[in-house]
Amino acid sequence: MITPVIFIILCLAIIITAVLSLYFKDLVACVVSYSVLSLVLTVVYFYLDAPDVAIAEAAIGAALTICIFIIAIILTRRHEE
Amino acid sequence: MKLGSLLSLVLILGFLFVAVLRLHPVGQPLGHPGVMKDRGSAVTDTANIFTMDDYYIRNGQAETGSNNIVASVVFDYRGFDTLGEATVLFLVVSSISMLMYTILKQKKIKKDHFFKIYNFPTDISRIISFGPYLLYPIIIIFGAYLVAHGHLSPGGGFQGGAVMASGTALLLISSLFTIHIQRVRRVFSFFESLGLAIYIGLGFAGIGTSFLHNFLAQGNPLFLGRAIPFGPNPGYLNSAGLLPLLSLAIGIEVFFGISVILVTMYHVAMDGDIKDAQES
Amino acid sequence: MTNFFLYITVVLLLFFGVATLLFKRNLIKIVIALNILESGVNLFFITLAFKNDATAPIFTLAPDLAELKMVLPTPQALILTNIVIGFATSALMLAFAVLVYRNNKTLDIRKLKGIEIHD
Repeated sequence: MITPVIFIILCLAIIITAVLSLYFKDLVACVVSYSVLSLVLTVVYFYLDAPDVAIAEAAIGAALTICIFIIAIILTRRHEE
Repeated sequence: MKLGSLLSLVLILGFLFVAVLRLHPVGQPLGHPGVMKDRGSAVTDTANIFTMDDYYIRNGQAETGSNNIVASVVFDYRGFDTLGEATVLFLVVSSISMLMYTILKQKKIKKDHFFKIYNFPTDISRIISFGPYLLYPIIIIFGAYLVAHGHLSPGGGFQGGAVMASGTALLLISSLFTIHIQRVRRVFSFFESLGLAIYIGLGFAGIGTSFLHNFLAQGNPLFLGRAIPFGPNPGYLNSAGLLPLLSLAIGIEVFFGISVILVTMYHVAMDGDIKDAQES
Repeated sequence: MTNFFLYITVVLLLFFGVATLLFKRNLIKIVIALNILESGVNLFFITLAFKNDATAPIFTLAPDLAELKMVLPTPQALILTNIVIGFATSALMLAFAVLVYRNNKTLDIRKLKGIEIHD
């Protein structure tokens, strides 16, 4: 089962992916990092006994948000100045 | 300008930290510790209750008839907030269609314009060109399962609708949409409006007591009105009154609404002068 | 005390979201920062609703009534709608970013037409 060590590792993964998604210059890398943040957040929601919210976050945060972001990046620039 | 931003940022961090230290410790929210004890067989029982969530946990199953208390809060106790959310989604879909239409109108789309511009790479792998035929029905069935069992297991209208919309995202990369994109968008847009209209119509059906009143919950056991005793049970599909119907309406609206967003933006991205828009 | 780390995660998510909102210039980075802010707020609500040694608020195949404790269901219902609204909001912001790019050929917020910077 989930031990405190794994739980602290998950929370650290949330913070690290949040920092990474705001650090890269290539916007596709930022968006992929945001999708990983959403995935780790889904696991934390499941640990906090919220299965409805976990399914919604997995379907919307990890799958649909990156889709709409990549369409927007196609229509604009890929690299930040 | 930079000094002011840095100072306000440090202040925000300080305030957040002080606020977090004064909250209740994680895992001990307010509530009655014996909220599940000694519940009679009445429909509404107000013993052992301190807060609103105690009332929902103690009476949600008997009043609404659904095993999933979160779904009963979303669709029955707080059904009006769900209507507001569905309105926000509908508003955003219509706004995006209107904004993108200003771009599409400048292009003077001709009928044979479609076949030239969808220049998918010719060395596309078999998995991407054939895989969606196999995967799309499975995704739709899984999303429909989540929508249909919203009152028994984790799920409901929003989750099922979002899972089905990711099926649409799968079709966009597999070039199954390209030729008939205008017709597809019109069909999706019609069904999205239909979903929201069904939700509002079901709300007006019980208008004798109030708007969005769950009039099927303690009624006929043959038509979604089975009485559920308090406590764990294996789950009966024929329960929860108006909840599965509202969940279905929201599932339809979310699926087709998000599909319209994806298809519209994809249409703008694939149709036109992206050569001078892309820099690298 | 490992559960207090959840509050620290929430504070850091909100802090990074606001910091990027103040200091970065690209419009798409600003949209990503708003999404991170929204994820922080969602995690905060679900953390408020957590009870130790409790289970999900679903009665189907739940443990026996003698040892049944449930987490609070109302914040989960609020966050459910918040996630969908957050997605819709960022989709609308990205549509606006696309239109801004078509008129200005840049996504830098300091170089847009009609914006004057006073230092």
